[in-house]
Parts: sequence; structure tokens; C-alpha cells
Amino acid sequence: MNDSTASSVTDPFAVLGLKAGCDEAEVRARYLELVREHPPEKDAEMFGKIQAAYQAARDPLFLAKQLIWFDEQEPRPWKQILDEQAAQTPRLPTAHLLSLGNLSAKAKEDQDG
Amino acid sequence: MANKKTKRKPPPRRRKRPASPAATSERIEKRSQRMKPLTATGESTEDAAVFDDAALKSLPEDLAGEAAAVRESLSAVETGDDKRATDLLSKIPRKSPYSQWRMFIRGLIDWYRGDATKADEAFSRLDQDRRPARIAATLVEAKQWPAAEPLRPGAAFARSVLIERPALKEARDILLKKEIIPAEIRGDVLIGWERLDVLIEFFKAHRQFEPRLVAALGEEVISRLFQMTFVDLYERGIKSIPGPPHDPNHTLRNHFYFSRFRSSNAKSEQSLERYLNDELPKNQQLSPAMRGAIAAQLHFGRAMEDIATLAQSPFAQLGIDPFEENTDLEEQIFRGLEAATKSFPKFERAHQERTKWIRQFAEDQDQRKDDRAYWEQCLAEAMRDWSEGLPECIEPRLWLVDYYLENEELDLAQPHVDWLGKSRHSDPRVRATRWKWCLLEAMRLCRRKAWLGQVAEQLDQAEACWPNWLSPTWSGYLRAALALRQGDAEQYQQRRAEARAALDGGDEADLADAVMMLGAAQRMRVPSADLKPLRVPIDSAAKNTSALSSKTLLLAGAFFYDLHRTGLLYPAYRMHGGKFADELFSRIETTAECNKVLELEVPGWPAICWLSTRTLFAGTFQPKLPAGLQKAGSKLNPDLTAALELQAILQVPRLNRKPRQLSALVQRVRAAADAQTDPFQRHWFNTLVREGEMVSTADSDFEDSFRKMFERVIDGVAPDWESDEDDDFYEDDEDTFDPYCDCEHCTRARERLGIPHPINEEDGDEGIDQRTGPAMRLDPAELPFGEPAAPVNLDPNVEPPPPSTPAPRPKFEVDPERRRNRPKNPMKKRKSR
Repeated sequence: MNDSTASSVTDPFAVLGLKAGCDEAEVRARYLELVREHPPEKDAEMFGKIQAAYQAARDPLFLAKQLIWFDEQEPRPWKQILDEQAAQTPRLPTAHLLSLGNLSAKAKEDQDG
Repeated sequence: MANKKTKRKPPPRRRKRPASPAATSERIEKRSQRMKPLTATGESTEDAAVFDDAALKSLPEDLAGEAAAVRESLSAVETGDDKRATDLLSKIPRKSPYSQWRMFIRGLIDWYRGDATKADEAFSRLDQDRRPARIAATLVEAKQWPAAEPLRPGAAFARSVLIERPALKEARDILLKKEIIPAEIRGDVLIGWERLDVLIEFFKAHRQFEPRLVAALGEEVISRLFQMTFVDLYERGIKSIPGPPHDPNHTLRNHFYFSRFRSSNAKSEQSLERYLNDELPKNQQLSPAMRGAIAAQLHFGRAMEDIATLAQSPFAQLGIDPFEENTDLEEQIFRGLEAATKSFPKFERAHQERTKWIRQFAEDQDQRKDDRAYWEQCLAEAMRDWSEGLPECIEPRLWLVDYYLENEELDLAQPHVDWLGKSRHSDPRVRATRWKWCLLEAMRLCRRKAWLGQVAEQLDQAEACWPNWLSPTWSGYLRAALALRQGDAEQYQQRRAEARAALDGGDEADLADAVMMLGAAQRMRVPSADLKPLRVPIDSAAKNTSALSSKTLLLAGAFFYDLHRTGLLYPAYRMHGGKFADELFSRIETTAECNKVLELEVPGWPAICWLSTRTLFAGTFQPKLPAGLQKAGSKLNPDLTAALELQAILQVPRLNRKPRQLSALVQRVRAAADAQTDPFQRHWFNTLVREGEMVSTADSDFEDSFRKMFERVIDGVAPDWESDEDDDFYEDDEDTFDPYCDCEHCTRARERLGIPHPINEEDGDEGIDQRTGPAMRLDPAELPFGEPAAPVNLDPNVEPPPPSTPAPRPKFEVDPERRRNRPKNPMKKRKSR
């Protein structure tokens, strides 16, 4: 994969219907989903686009370009960020999660009794 | 009357006020310190091993490995790396005691993602006596509040942290209330001091349980600070909020931020140096490929920016060679492009630009032999890097074959020749590899008299596979040159006469005859004494080019075009090629003469293409195809005219290209490419289209972002905030005042302008979007870090002060070994000359 492939796809994340900067697992899952929807024998053109976008979205050169893009952009409203975060459940630290399996005093008594 | 004791009413019971989000967060924090996994009596060692190191050590090796996988998988779930979490579980067999944990973690991922059905399905299959089932039940119970049954231990905690999320409420309180910002600077402030301080405290408090929320808000805060020019506010933010994995200390961001201020250029450069040399190589959060790609993009972007700066220099604009005065900058470009290709060897665009950059020096006609040798060596190195990084590319291989054969390095050339021979590439030059190999081998064998006997055989083989897109007439001259090399004067005369007879054009072909003979003789290593008489007619023609007929120039030009296409130019071409080209170019600038030239399809068009390869149709600012050529050409051969125009645009310096003009021509040439019967022309059209597309994308994409970033400095839009002249100017300005200050001057100024004291004025986010009022800036040089700065008024209507001299850019380090082996830098020599 070289940069010419990446440059031929302006925004691979948009082609895949993903948010820029999402992780590799999400990219792969979405790619497989789209390939199932547009198999090469039925929709060769779309399949080609998906394939190119998938390659570009995994290309280190393309990803590096995205990362170091410090262009000025309009500030995002705080409310929008908070709403997005409210839609996601935070993840408990592992020790705290495992402590949820501790037995209560009553359960211990029942167990001992 | 007895005093009746009045019954006092009991005071109304106070309603318990809901705890503030901050108090709730504090309670959660205290509670969380007590939350530790404890082994229950009778709990299996396998379950305990997931959190207890002693239990883990007691397990047999295979089970210990599975327990470690579960631990790692749980950590991956915590950081949101679900794919890695599930991948780690794949090694746990179905009959293992850890299969319960595998099922639990899969259900947990679904639960976190909000897919309750899938989560319940996984949780329902868990063994109720095991810890995974108990954790799952607690999570489910936390979500189903209020529950009929007494809560399990930890369910209230889980509900607070995961469902109620006081941190989110606290963030809403902080961010959605109005922020006090003085009206004068409201238009420029995207986040103020107070809010920044509160948010920094908020991030510290909630990083443990709300890392994603903290990261998302932190990213936005930094992005807003980056867009403002309040340096102390920006520095406060970046010191307290960690950056993204590729730039955790904001060093790279600092480079771009400070590049906006002329006076901070040195700081900007230091940041980039530190990022590239210290931080990026040590960043273990990125894969090696990613580290290389980031470094390559940075080196490349900077080199391209420097090339643009050179093209924009006053010397370049006046048509003077800008390199004469910019040896340091061109050395920096040279190293930057080299570093880009070394950092990420598969960076094709960087290889192309690197070789293009070196080639312009290597092909410079006005330089000494040792300078040219230096550049050829550099070009060979660049081509080798390209070929190793991208073995599928033919361009470097074709060049290397020529280079190695010229330098008698057959062993090095052989693998490339073999590869090209097997390749089924559409490039006609690849298919002509065999022909060229035979020809170059014939020329090489002419070096020694003892080998001359083998030359004819090589020439026979070359003739047998002579490409049909090349004129075969030169073959006769090569045989004549062989006879001359052998010292057989009679045979030379005979061969020369035969070759001359094969040339059309009568007397007007005399120049073509002369250059073909001289070219063949030089390539076939004819001794210099025998070359002298061959030079005479050419030298006299070159001295008086205006006396030559156009057809004479066209016939010679067509031959030169063949030499350019095949890369077989002879050494003396440098002495006269340019003179004939300039004369022909001046002729076709006259419309009537141009029409005559174009009527002669051959050699007219090949000679025009020759002028194009010599970049005569590209000006500094725009293509300069003669009007006659454009007019008559678009009627007689519109496809070729469009291709010539496209090539001319691609040869124009990047900053002066017009994207619309470029894309229209690319479409036109693409449509014409398939209709071309000549294989070389078809290939050339397709190459132009590819290059045009790539350049068009690059022009409007990445490089433009760099350009925008620096244009403010280059064009003098960004004022020098630290200049003394600024300070003098503001001291005299009566309208300059501090909106927060209560001194007599500032209060009077506020009153005069009818601006209320900002402390008494409330405002919020809605006001920030209305960018009105005079711009206010903070002077970074004068402000201590971390304290609110006294704003300085800057009238946007006043011209910015003259640019200060930018600090010199520190030089990039290159491999010292390679540096030692390189000849002296001819850039310096050029300057001294």
C-alpha cells in the first residue's frame, strides 16, 4: 500500500460511514458489513470503492496525515460533546468491576450456615 | 386563668436537599477506595487467580496462562479495546474453568455497548455460584433500580458511576452556564480563564471513572486554545491536559501553534526537532509503522513548504535562479525529502519529489563534471531507496539499469533487467528493456579494442528488437560509429553514406545527420581525435542558429526527442541542445511559422514534444504555450496539444497552479489516452493523468494545510506580538485600556466608549459566536505563566509592523557515515562561483 492509493480516496472514513479516527476493529467490522451488502458480483463499482477506502483507512501514511492535521476548525458545541458522552456507558476500572462479585455478609452467612 | 401551655408545633421537617454533583463525586471517590475484590470462603482458586497474585502462582501452568489472558482481556475492556479483549479470549478452551469468564466478558462488552438482549443472553448462561455470575447480576441490578430485593453489595456504587454519572451532571453545570468574558475580546475567546481552571480541576477529579468524557472534553479544550492567540492560556491548558497518544506532551502541536508568530519561530522549530528526534522514536503507544509514517509526513510537508518558499522568493519571481542565494534552504529540502523516504520507505510521493528535486541539479547544463557526478551519485542513492521501498515501481529500476550499465556495474544492473524482463507492465520502456540492454552493452564493449569483435552481435540483437515507437535511422549511424571506432575508414564512409541516404529531408537533414553521427560516435567511445571533425558542422550551426531553416531544426529536434525518451543523450548534447531548442521555440512563437511547423506532422510534433521535455512551455507563474501552437494545435492534433498543455502546467511551480484548469485538462487527456495508437504516447498520456490527479489531490489537500499554516507568516498577516514597535504604538493610543482594570485611565476609556465593567456583565456561549469588537490579544512575552494576563488592544485596521528576521532553522541530522562518503556539497560551490 502506498500513498497513491490513499490519495485516490479523499475521505475513506466517509465512504465507510464511520467517524474519522475510529479504531481498527470498527473499521474492519464496518468493512465486512459493507462487503456483505455490496458483493463484487452484484455491485462491482461500489465494492471497488469500499475496498479502496478500507485500504486507505488502514494505511499508516493516510492515518498519519489525519493525526498531524492541525487545521483550524469551528469549535464543537459543548452540549453536543456531552450528549455524545451521555450515550456511552463509562467503563469501570477492572478492580472495581471484580469487587462487584464480592459476597455480602448475609450471603456469607448463608453460605457458612 | 391558668396559663395554658401552648403546644409548640414541631418544626417542619427539613427536606433533604439533593447532594450537589461535586459532593456525589466525592462520595463515590471515598467509596471507591473501599472497593477491592476479596476472595470469599470456598471461592475457587481459578476465580481468585483473576485478581489475586498468590492464587495465580498456585495454578498449573496452562490454567495460569488462561487466567493471565482473562486479566489482560479485562484490562482491554476497560480501555475500550474490545477487539483485543475478544481476541485474547480465543485461546481459552470450552471445557476450561475460564470459559465462564470468557462468556462473562463477551456479555460485559455487549452490556457496555447498550445491547441488553445479547448481554442478558450471555449472563443467563453463567454458573450462579461463580464470581462472573455475581458481577453480572450486580450490573443488571444496578440498571434495574429500584429493585424489590435488597441491593447486592456494590450495586449502588455501580449505579452511581455507570448510570447516574454525577460527573456528566457536573460537566453540564460547568459548561452550559454563561461564562463572563469582556465584550471587547468575546469574539476571539473560545474558552476563558475561569472555565479553563474549573475544567482542569474537573479532569483531575474524574479521570478514574470517566476517562472518555475527560478525554473528549480535554480534546475540545485544547482545540479551542489552539485556535486562539492567547499564548499563556494555551500554555496553561497544554501543561494540565494530556495530549493524544501520538503527541502526549503537545510538542508537535506547539510546533504548529508557535509557527504562527514570527517571533516564536525558533520555539516552533525546537518543538519540531524535539518531537521528531526525541519523543516520536520513544513513543511506544504507536506502532513502528505509524511512527515512521508520522515522521515521513512531517519531513515531507516541511520540505514541500520550503520548496514553495523558494519558488516565492523575489529571485524566483524575477526569473533568477533562486538556488544561487538559498543554499542552506535547498540543503534543508534535500535532507527533508531524504528523511521522508527513509522514515517510511513506501512513501511513493516522497520518492518522486526527492528524485525530481535532485534531478534538476543533475540535469543542470551549466555545471562542472565533478558537480554533476555528485548529483548523479545522490540520484542513484535516491533511486535505490525508492526501488527497495517500493519494488513494484518501474521508474527507479529503469533509471538504475541505465546508471549501472553506464558505470559498468553489470552485477547490480542484472536483477533489475531480469525483473523488468518478466514484468508485464504497460510502459513501453519496460518492454524495450532488452533492446536497451543490447545497445548499452554494445556501447560498453566499445571501451576496449579487444572487445570490439562482440559489438556487431549486440547491435544485431538490438536491431532485431528495435521498438516501433522509435525511429530506426540511428541504427545505421551506430554501425558507422563502430567502423570508426575500429579504425576502418572505408567502411565508416560507406555506413555513413547509407545512413544519410535513409534520412529524408535532403540538405535540410544535414544537421540531423551531424548530430546523429556525433551522438553515435560519442556513445560508441570513438577517440576524441576522430570526434573533432564530427563536431565542426554542429558547432558552426550552433553559432548561427538563426541561419538554419525550421525544418533543419525540426529534424534534429525529432532525434533529440528519441534520445530524451530512451535516456541515451550523448555528452556533447549539453553544449548545443539548448541553443537549437531556444531557436526553435522562438520560431514557433510566431504564429505563421508555428503553422508551417505543425503542418509537417513528422518531424514537427516530435520536435514540439522535445521542447516540452526541456520545460520550455512552463513559466514561473503559468504555462507559456505559444498562442499559435494552442490555436493551430487544437485543430490539427487536439489530443497532443492538451497533453502538452497539461505537462506544462505540471512543470509550473506548485503554488502557481490553478486547480480547475488542471482537473479539466486531466479529464481531457484521460479521455484521449486510449485512442492513441502510438504505445509511447498512450503511456505518456496515462502518466500525465496519474501525475495530474496526484498533484491535484495534494495541492488541495495536505500541502495546502501546511501552506495555510505558514502563509500567515510568509504574507505578513500575522503581526509580531513581541515587537517593541507594537508597544510604542499602543502606549500612544488613547483607546488602549484594560477592561478589568480600575485605574483612572482605563475607567475613563471605558466610559468614553460606553463599555460596562466586565465583572458586572454576564455572558455565555451564545455571545462567543458573535465575533464583533476590536481584537484583544495577550502578549506572551510579558506574562508570567499561569496568571490571567493583562490584555493589549490591537487595532485590526493598523498595518502590522515589518517582519522581523526569522530565526534560522536548525539543521537536520543525517547519517554521519553517509555524510562522510558524499562529495563536497556543490550547492556551496555554486554559491562561491
